[in-house]
Amino acid sequence: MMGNKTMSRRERVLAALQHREPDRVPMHMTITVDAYKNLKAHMGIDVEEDLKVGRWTGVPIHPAVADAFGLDVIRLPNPLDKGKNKPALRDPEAAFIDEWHCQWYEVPRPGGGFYYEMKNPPLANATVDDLDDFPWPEPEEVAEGAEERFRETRENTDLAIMTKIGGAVFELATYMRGMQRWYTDLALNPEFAGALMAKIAEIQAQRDINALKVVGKSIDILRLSGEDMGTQEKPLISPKMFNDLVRPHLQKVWTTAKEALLAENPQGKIMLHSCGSVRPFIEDWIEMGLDALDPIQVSAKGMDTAELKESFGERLVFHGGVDTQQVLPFGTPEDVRQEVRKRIKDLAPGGGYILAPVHNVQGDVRPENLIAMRDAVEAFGTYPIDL
Amino acid sequence: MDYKALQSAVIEGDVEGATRESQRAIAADADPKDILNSGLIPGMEEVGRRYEESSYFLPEMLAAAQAMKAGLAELRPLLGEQDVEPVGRVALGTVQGDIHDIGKNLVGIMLEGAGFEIVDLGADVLPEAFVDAASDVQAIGLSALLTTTMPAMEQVIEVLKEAGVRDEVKVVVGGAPVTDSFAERIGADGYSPDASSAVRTVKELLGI
Repeated sequence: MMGNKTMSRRERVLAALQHREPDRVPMHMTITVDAYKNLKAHMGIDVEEDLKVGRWTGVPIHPAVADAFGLDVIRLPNPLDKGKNKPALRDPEAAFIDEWHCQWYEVPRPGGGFYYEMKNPPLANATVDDLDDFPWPEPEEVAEGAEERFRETRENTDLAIMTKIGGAVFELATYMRGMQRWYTDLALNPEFAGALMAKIAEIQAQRDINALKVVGKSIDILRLSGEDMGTQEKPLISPKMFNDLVRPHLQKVWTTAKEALLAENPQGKIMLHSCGSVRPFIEDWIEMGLDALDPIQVSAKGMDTAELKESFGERLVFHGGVDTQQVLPFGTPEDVRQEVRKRIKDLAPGGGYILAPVHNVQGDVRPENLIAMRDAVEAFGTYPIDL
Repeated sequence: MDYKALQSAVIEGDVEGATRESQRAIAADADPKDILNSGLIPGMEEVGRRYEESSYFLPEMLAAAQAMKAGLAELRPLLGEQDVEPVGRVALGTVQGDIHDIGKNLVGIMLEGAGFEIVDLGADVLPEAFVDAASDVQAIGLSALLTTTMPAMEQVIEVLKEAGVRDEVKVVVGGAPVTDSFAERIGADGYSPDASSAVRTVKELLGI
């Protein structure tokens, strides 16, 4: 790698998380299976690995690929994930079923490839009373081998480690109820909405406690979510509805997770993932104890990186920012270079920025554009930023 | 007749209220077309206005849609009896490979709330299904959330051309990654960034 680097990858990430300027802007990425295979082939990397395609068709990036590409953060699979199917409620057509009984199907794309999507939400017709009888997942213990995987990644690499454990409350309710039904509930059946979020939050908080005791010392960034709360144009719900109805349940999980993480790793940070136009929520989220926000969907209204840095930069770390709706799939390598330059110029001064694509890199992104992203971080991301 | 209470029930997402007020108007011998045009439609127009100015969000819009549909359910049999035609017919679908349908559903709600009849083809719709629908409608709305399924929109337009029906319908596209310039490039007739403005786009294209 080029550039004048003085920090290990993890030191670089920790500096950014602590709002100090590292030697260079740290970089992260999550990716779907086809894009990952294309990138590996393009880079001539031949690592043997058993690609376990998960939710949203994503795959974990092998540490050797992360290293060769130049990532500073590695996202390890959820330490609770035992990869087991629960056949009881399963539609035989489904590719897999998760612990919340959400069924995932392979949806073929015209032109080849597929995407894992959810259908047939398990609580579509449930009432408040039904919630008591639902086969909720037990707040389980970590999967076999998870403790070793986290420890070995910490010992054998200098990558910063990100993972998700308990995860979402609001968005999981969307999955379990079905999107249209859930958003109708929020207006017409707030009693059900509140009861469902309370139930999920209780389980998620306990899962965080259980797993963080075992792997917390190795986690630098705990991803709390995704809690997508924005459309392309505006938030999905009003800030008032967020505060009145949703916030107490999220607060419970965030506070529990942060305390459990800090007990094991005093430098650990919590990060929310929330897609879309979410500017009106950010002040509330900071108040709720959030350290970092992903993905900064720059193509959505109000997600102006210069303005966000100006308003929240001293209190919030930004993760993401490289457009995946136009630039990465449809732009040229030069477009990517200019995009990276802009995000670094806007978000990197003073630290507090980890550059990453806004979304899991999809199969329509050419490896050349990912290489252009990496090279632009090298070209523009060395501190002090002078762009 | 005054339809303020019916309009308010729609705007507030009061499902029972919309049913009650529609029944009351019918019992008072109001013209069902008038109940629709002066009660339900102005109610949904206000909902659209509030959504665009961001005092309403997705839940309030979906609640209003339920109220509107409840009112419409009371009127439908009477509108049928009188052979009242919708202002237009629009087929909607999420393109092949894409199952994300909330945006498409919102467009359907707002069009229905403006007096259109919707032929909902669903999600993950084959191009041929749009061709089959083309003879019954004046416009087709295509939706996509994923960048990887956007090419399927262009394919629908190609298939409509091959079947010789492209000029018989207006094609409107939308969805998170879709833009005005993309719509122009693939030869669509219109593009809308959200459900409320989709009604304006369709009306303009159909000269309504």
